[in-house]
Amino acid sequence: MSTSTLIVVIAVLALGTYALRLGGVLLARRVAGPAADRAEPGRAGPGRAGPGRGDAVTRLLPYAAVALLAALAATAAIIESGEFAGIARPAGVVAGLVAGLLRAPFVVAVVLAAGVAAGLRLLGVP
Amino acid sequence: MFTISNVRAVWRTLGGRLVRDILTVVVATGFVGVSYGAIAVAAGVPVWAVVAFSVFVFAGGSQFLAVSLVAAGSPVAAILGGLLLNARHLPFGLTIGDVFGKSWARRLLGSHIMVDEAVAFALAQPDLPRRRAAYWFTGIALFVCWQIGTLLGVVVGSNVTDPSRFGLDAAFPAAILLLILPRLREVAGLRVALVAVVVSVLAAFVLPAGLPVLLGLLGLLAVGRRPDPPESPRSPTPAAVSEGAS
Repeated sequence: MSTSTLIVVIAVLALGTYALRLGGVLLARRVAGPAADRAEPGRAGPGRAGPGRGDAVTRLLPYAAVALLAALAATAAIIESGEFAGIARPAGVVAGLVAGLLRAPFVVAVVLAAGVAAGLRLLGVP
Repeated sequence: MFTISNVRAVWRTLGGRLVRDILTVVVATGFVGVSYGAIAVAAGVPVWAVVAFSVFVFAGGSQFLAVSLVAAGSPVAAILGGLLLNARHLPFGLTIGDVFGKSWARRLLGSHIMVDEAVAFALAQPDLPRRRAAYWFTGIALFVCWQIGTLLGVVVGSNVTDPSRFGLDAAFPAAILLLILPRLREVAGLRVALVAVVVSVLAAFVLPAGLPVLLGLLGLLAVGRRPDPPESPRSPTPAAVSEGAS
């Protein structure tokens, strides 16, 4: 990818993301009633915004993130240039995921994923 | 702007335990930054771009997505996917807009450090002064740690000539899954993820890189009709909160 294309990608993504962040802050001052009151303590997401405008969007946004990231992880784990990526990589990913489910720290789980994949390859598994 | 006396004031306002909780999450996220930096350079993205993403975009999930799509040669998908992923910041801003007060400088600066963790810790506080302190402390500390992590990752990744030999190719999908793990523990989140996985993987056999990931959004059809907002009890543990530096 050319340098100029890369610069455009970074600039558009950075400006767009900043616009989304600042946009919410500026809108918060216009939307009737402090939106903060509707947000429950301890909740990261926009959670339960109650019936009202943008409710469906507010409800779906966190799931859009889940859908995109799950799709990204799955394709990266299983596919390489339109074909199966082999066994070692997905096996490592599953090992890391299981470690995470068992409440292993993030770093441990990630290193485990890499270690299992590398170990399997060392044993000749594709 | 982040001096020793500020730290003392934050410590007084928030209390030692909360500061330690925040720092734990911040350090954990720093390690996510390390894996981001390493994976990105190993995928062939130039170092300056890897760092620029961290400084100017500063949203972990979208950075992972963007560098992998850029490496796959799909710049348009990188932009669209990244922006979709970051769209949740709009409602974030709506819910925590009050931590900025009326100062324009604070609104402009504070918006850039708006990440899941800062929002989560801020919302968990009982009153405005503490919400403010938690937001700024988490956001600034995370920004600094994220940059340091990225640089460390770049150094690590640059010394790896064949990423697959060290299993780095498995580290990336694993890291992503771990970031959304809290959502996978709830029914609706799991349904969405499973549909997204099936659709995108099937699509990846026939469609060019980038599109399959966006098609994963079809997983949203599985959310269910009833208003069933994400009910994850967000006790800010590293695993639960590191949903991104996103």
